[in-house]
Amino acid sequence: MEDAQIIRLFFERSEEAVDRVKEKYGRACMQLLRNLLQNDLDAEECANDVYLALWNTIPPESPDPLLTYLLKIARNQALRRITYNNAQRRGGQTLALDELEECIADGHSVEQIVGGKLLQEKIAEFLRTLRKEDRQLFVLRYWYGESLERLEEIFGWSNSKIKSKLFRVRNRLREELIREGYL
Amino acid sequence: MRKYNLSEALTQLPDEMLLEAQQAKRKKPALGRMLRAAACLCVVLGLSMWIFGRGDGIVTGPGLLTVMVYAEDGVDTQMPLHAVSPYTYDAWYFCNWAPGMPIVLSVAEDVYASENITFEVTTDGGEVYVGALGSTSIYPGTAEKMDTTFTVPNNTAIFWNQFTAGDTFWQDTQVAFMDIVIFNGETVIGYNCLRFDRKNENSMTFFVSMTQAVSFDAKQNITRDVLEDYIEKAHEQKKAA
Repeated sequence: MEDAQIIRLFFERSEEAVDRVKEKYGRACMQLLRNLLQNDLDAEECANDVYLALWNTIPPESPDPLLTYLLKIARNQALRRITYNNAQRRGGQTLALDELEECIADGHSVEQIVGGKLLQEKIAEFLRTLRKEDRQLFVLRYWYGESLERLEEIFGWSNSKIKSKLFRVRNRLREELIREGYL
Repeated sequence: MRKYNLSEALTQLPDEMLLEAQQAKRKKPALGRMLRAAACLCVVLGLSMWIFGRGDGIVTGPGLLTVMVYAEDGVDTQMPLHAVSPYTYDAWYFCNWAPGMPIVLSVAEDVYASENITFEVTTDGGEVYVGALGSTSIYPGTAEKMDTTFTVPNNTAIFWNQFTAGDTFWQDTQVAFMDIVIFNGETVIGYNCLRFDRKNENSMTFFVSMTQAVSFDAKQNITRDVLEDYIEKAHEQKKAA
């Protein structure tokens, strides 16, 4: 079913809309949640919250493409769950995210970088300067939370090559944030 | 203190970057599928080469020969160019008099220069006649009876009937094979086999089918010894079938 038809179902408040979203994008959504949360139970619980958020936001939203909208909601929900789990000391390692945060945590206060939309735009601008494959690698690792093993499969590169590429990109991002005054 | 500020900021990346990354995920497994498909193809090709060129290392391709058979029932049938064997010809021919069933052998001129093509024909049953050498006429007037092995140029009509040398009875031949080796100059470039089957025990009607149609890369320099070995194995397979 086309995205537009699914959106129409949401606007008609038909519960079939959620079923169609699950059918079409449920796998991608669960994969993202599992990558970020590293816990199937948490991922399943979070997925229910994601579909509820989708139901509550469409309408008035009419996202196009629907997939990235769904995944962004899922990612937000996952980050909330991680924060909650950390606060409750429920553990849960999120290696990819920790790896990313390390690039700003070294000697800097995390609060300093909270710059809302400006920071988002800065990161996007930085990513546009990267070569396509490096950008894909960065996004897959730090947005989708893909494991290094999975990235090896996707790109056909060795583990050490992937690690060194990610390391270089993180460093460049850090330098860029320092240069722009975010750190 | 919140730990994941940068990650949160990252959440709102532009859609095109997220989709671009998804493409990489899709692209690479597709590559994997292609590799798997290629591996399967290699296995299939390997098996084909093993089957067709078993023991002699001959690599074969699609057949080159076009065989035009003129049937008694008025339906002329052209066995398809580059036929992959087996090909069954459903029309029939009443083979009770000479010269017999007209069969025109040719290799398309766009494949090889016509004047360099010759066919070496060998039969293990029945008789073969040829009209004027190189003639495609299926009404030869006078026709010459050939030995069991003979050579004719491209686009020649040959005639097969059920009689064997010295026989006077028409029931003798039940099944016969005709091997056709295609030469381009001195180089063997192809091999075809036709099979003639009597319709039933007392019938004077025969069906013909193409049981093998292969070509060889000229670079392989297939020698006659190699080819004979190949044909022998092909016959064994045909008889086993």
